Amino acid sequence: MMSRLAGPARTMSRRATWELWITLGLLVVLPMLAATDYALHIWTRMAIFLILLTGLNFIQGVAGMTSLAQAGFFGLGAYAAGIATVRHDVPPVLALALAPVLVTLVALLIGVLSMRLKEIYFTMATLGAGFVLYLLFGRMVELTGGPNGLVGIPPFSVGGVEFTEPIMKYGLAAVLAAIGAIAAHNLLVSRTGRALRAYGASEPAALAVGASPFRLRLLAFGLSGFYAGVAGALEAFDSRFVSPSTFDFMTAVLLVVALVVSGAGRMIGPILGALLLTGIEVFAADYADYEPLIMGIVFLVAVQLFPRGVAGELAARREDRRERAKRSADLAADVAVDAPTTLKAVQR
Amino acid sequence: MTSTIERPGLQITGVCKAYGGLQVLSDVTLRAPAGAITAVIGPNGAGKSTLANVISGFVTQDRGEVVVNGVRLPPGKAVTRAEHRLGRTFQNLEIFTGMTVLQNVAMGAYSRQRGSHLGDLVRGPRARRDEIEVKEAALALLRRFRLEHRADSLVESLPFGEAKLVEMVRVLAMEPEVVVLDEPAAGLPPASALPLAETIAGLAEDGIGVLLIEHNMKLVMSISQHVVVLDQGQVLTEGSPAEVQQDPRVIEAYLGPGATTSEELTL
Repeated sequence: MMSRLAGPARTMSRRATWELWITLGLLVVLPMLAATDYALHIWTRMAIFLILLTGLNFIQGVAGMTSLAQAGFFGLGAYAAGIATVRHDVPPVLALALAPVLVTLVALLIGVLSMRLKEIYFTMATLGAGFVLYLLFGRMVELTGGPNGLVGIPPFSVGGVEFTEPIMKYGLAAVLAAIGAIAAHNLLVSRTGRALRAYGASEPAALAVGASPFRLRLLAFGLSGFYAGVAGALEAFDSRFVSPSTFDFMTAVLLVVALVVSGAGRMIGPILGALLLTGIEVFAADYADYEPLIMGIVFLVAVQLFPRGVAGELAARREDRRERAKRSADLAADVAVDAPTTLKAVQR
Repeated sequence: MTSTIERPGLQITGVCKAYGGLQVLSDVTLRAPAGAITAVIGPNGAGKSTLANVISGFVTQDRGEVVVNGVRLPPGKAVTRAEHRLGRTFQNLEIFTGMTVLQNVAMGAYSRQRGSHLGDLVRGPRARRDEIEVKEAALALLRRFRLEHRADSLVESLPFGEAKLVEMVRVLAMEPEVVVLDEPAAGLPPASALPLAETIAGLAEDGIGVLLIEHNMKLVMSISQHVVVLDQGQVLTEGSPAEVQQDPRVIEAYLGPGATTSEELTL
């Protein structure tokens, strides 16, 4: 069946598939390049960022609606997993499964209330939601530990095997990131992904072909919540400590900016964004006081150099090259057709 | 003839719409039967675009109903039109920028595709098969309209005329029973009029009921079977192109009181 498909249809989703392979390849290759405990800790952070940004890409990149709630959802996932294991002795594996479900439900609730708003008001609503969550993390002291954070989170464990070794932690985060990326790829190249993009491009035309914006955007927002829930739970089991400051407004903005700078809406965007965030985190660790300044400069430069995002800019350049080559080929064909006539004219 | 009876096409009955004190449509009744081109003409401000928007659910009428093949369509619900096989193009080009021509056309089949959105995360064999079928059908349409070589191009890179054609092909991917074409010739060079006329005539030959809302009189008069003239939100008259062209009320509405020639209407 697949082989019957003509060329263009085959290439339609090829780019997204290549970008998925690059993402999966990096998840495998990176720990081979550096596998010290410290490096593995860094790669684990990167995998968590990847999950977080893959989730954000549904609503921010594909549906084209800026969400500033992702950091709050990330925190909710982390606190849900942490509180479940610390306060209620829920097995970590169950906490890892439940945290994303809880975050998805909260995201859907916020989505139902805010999804019909115009984009800027939606963004403001998500900003409010993120801020409320951030406040709750700090204020519900008995449950969350307040500003001092929640301590004593056990390591992730399955069947009595504790994931305390850095390689195990990375393995868990990488496998979940890979599953998340594959599912995201599937959605992006399907009719759902197409419809989400279409709605951002032309609202009237999308309605006319029967794509319901409310349902599609709610799905995208729910998925962003689910992924943030997974990332949050992983964060809790990786750090074994959660505090509100990790999930503040700064984080919310950073996630959006990192995705936009890397290539929002593209399959490769989240991994590039995750590498960027991890790189900044590592580099800025030595200059903690200057972290916001460093990030600001990096993003300013990146936006100037790659106004369509790194991935978008590279793709656009490739497209330009292809168009130029096509034009040259057309011109050559025209000259070849005209040549005999021209020759005869000259001979006469 | 049998098929026309089985699929009566589009029927609009007693549609009224007012914006504040301004009555834009007053008791408009018309029919666009399957397999024929019914044109709606009228001077600027006659209510043509509002009528297109009421039919396609972008504007809620105050009164009256829109029926496709015997099914009454919910007022003001544009998203439901595709499932009733009513497609439309827009006066101002509405394409999905950032997507390829093939993706644009495949979007037309959106409402025909089954399966859940969450199922797309897994993309099982059935979903894959469905996708391939949609893409093959989209490619076949592009081939028919000689746009196959553009399938992989970003739609915004196309010349205006081709982009307009893509918009129409996208509507065809819906497998529509009725299409509303809102000024398809707007912005096109005169040389494109003939291919456009052939394309629209082809839709009717396929059995689709075409409601053509158009300013270009030459196009309207050359391909329409039935012409409805709107003036100040009301149906002024209707009939065959020849009848409408000779109607003094139509000439007056277009050219002003005292005009006696229908020459300009035939241009």
